[in-house]
Amino acid sequence: MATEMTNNPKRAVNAPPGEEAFEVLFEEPLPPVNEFKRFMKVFLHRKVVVVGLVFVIIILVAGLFSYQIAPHDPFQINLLNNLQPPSSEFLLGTDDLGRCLLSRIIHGARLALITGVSTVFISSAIGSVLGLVAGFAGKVVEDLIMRLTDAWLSLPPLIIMMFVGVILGRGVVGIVFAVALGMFPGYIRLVYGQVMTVKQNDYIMASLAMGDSKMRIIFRHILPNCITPLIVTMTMSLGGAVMAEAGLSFIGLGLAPPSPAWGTMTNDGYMHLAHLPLLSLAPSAALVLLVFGFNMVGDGIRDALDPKMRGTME
Amino acid sequence: MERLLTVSGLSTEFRTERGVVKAVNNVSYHIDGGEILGIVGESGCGKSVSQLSLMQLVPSPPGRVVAGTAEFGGVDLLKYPRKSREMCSIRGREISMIFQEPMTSLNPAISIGSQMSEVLITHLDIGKSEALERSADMLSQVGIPDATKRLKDYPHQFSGGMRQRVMVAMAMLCTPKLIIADEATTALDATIQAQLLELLYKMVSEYKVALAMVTHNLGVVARYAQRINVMYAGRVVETGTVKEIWANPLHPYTEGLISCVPKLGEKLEAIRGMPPSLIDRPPTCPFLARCKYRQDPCYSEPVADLTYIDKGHATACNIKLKEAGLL
Amino acid sequence: MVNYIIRRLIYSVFLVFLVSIVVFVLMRMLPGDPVMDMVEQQIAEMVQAGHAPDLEMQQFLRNQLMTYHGLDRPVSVQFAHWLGDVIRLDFGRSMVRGFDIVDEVGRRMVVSIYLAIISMVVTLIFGILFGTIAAVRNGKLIDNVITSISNFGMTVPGFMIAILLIWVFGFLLDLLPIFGFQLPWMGDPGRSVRQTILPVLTMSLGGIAGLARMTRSAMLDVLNADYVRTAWAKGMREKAVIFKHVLKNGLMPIVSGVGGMIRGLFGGSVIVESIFVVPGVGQLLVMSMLSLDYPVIQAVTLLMAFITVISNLITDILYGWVDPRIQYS
Repeated sequence: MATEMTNNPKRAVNAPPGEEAFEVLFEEPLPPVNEFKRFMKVFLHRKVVVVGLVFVIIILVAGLFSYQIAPHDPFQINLLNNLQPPSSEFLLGTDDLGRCLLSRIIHGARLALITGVSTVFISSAIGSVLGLVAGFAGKVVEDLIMRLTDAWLSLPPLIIMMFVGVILGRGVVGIVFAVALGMFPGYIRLVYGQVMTVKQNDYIMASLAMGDSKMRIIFRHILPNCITPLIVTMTMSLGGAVMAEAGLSFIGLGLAPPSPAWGTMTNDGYMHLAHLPLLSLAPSAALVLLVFGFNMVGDGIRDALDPKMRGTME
Repeated sequence: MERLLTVSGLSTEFRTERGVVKAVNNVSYHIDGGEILGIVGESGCGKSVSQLSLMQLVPSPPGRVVAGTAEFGGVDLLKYPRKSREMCSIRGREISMIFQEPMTSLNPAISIGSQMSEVLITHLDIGKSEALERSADMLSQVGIPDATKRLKDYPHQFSGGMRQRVMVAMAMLCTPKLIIADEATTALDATIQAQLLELLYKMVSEYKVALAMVTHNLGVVARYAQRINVMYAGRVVETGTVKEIWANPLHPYTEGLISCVPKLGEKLEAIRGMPPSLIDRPPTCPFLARCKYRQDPCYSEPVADLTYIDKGHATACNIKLKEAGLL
Repeated sequence: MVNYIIRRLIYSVFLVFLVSIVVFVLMRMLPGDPVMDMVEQQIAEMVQAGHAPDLEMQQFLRNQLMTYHGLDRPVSVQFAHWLGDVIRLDFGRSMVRGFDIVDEVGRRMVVSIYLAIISMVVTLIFGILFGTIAAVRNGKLIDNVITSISNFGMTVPGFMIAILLIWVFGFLLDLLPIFGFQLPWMGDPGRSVRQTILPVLTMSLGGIAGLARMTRSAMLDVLNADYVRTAWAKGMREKAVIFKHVLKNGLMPIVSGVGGMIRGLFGGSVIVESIFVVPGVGQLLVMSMLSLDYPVIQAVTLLMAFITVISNLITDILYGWVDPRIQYS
């Protein structure tokens, strides 16, 4: 209809028989809004989102090219030169083993990004599958999954993460799974809720009546409806994942030394807080910047994907 | 009757992503005491926004009253800041409003009695128990049985029609000088709608309250109103008494609206086409695209302001005004 | 209503039961041998006494301890025994340190709950206050200030807040004690108050930021609601509109978030109590996990699950009280 109007600005409306026809002029409709442009416009509208995006990009670059950027080997121990304040050679000083703090922070960026991103993917994958199964399998399976989810959510996530972290050991894989297992019930509830909402719609009834298979309904109707809330929740929980990993590392149940995890470094530096606060504050500041960046980008994406926000911007 | 409200040159804009929407554009009209004025037009023609502008209830941002005056009881309503003491003492006391959405216009978390009595407590110097008593009295006047008991109920325990009755009662509580009913019956079933209109009519004539009746249904207005404002694209395009407008519409849009009212044994005729966008309008007649009678000069000449042809009957149609020798 | 509460209570007990199964299984998967430390200690004592225990002796001691603590039986039997004891409110003794669990956890719980309640109150007051101010002054300077600070505050992890506070108030200003805690009625109340400040700030700052954001968006939704327009149209003044019509409705989604907050507070207490050396259950849990003190871990997690489930129940009841549309069925 819209294209017809643009091609045919003066189109006669069919008059009922017996009446004289007259032409109704159609005004040029406003040009359709380009969805991608609209997304970017809303996304970049808030300055704070742009700032967050810049933080994320900086840390992403640091993580991707840490070997090229870092001025020193992050594992090079030099006990003769330990606990130095910032100098021209060691821009942020050295830690208690004489390692370059700046280099360790730069290498820590990669660890933070890898653990954060893979945690979110793993928890959302497990959660979505379980949510779908709960929504579509029989009553017994549904009850089993949802009741276990309730039970899982009755414990503070940090405690579950502590358990799983200790069980799986203090490597990257262990920590990723620990945090993911602390976070996945949220995704079960999200996807399960979407399935329940979508299932009520008449077009699903119609689909079922026409004999479509469950698989087809899942892929045709349910999943597309879940994508937007999933993307939003995933970006919003990136910051939380990074923070949880750092928290675990901080209480000594996360990534084991000598890996340059920001949480571990913060804890190591804590002993020297009185005379060399940078050792503790610098890695946690890097962490804050990344979490802030992720949260703001998540906010921006949520606003840009929110149908309620359409057409409301100045 | 003396003049109650004089609106002149009212313009309200909304700033949106796509540009400035001139929702109300240079609107002027008046209401006399005790009179019923119908304000008619399609959705989006600015009839509701013009009323909200008077009450300073246009959501801002993005909305803003950019020009005009509204003289009411010797003061200009548009001069007062929206949250000022003066404006608050007029709203609900001198001018009340009934809204379109019966399901959402009452606070779901507060009992009906509390929502009604707070009007009285805000404006009159009376205590809570007296306010509740008067609320119950008003509720029974609008036909809600067991009024005293129902004061304790919450909005979700009432049907849509009953909620609108509550809204009518609430609007009448302080016996205002003017009630603005913004599509007050549109969302209801036809039978309920008729009952509610009768009720509203009964109440305003009993208490001699002026009523501004905003609706898209010309038939409803014709039955109750003395005068009609026809609005199109943010402007008043014709105004006059019901009789004058019904017998001799001076604007092609009014003519179209009249033929939209179902009449027994006659074929219904619709106005073809869609209302125009209100962003960056050219100065020509906004109805041009849908007009049966348009002539070549209409394409280039700026549209005329609302001009009186008879005493009390005015139009903004260039063709009609030329015929009358006024343009 | 009573029916609803009873049904919810039964479900809560069921949930706690599920949690204890999950914890039991997880716990037995923890790497390490809980009795090995004790065996080594005994052997060291024997060596000191002039004996020379061999490997066989070590194995014998280990088996003896395993039998003593019931660890040689199948996990399901252990669980059944444990459950039987718990129903009689007997949580046993610590395997590692030998204290009576009910005594010790009870004492520590008072400390944790004391700090949690203060943090909760501080969080609620300031979170709701700042969020409401920001919403009412939407787009104004004060809104921008509150929104930016809370956006930023939400991203600062608890341990960093703690470190910053310790650095500033402990080292730079030398104003407040940086570790230790005693309940005010257990000793010097003045010192107790000063010891309370930093842990409570650590636990509440993030929550205040989050709650302020949540309150702001909930309030903004309500501020644009039709019934608020009605309230304005009735001629009510701003204060009355905000306090009577906006606040109550805006608080509805927040009430439902309070349950999650309580869960978060107890999770946060683990970190806060470790940093500030507070003798609460969080600290006990970390210690027990590092020493694989099974009965203590089991008791503490059970207690935390119980508190969460009960606070969820209270939240739901509160919700029904705020929103008259909710019917318990």
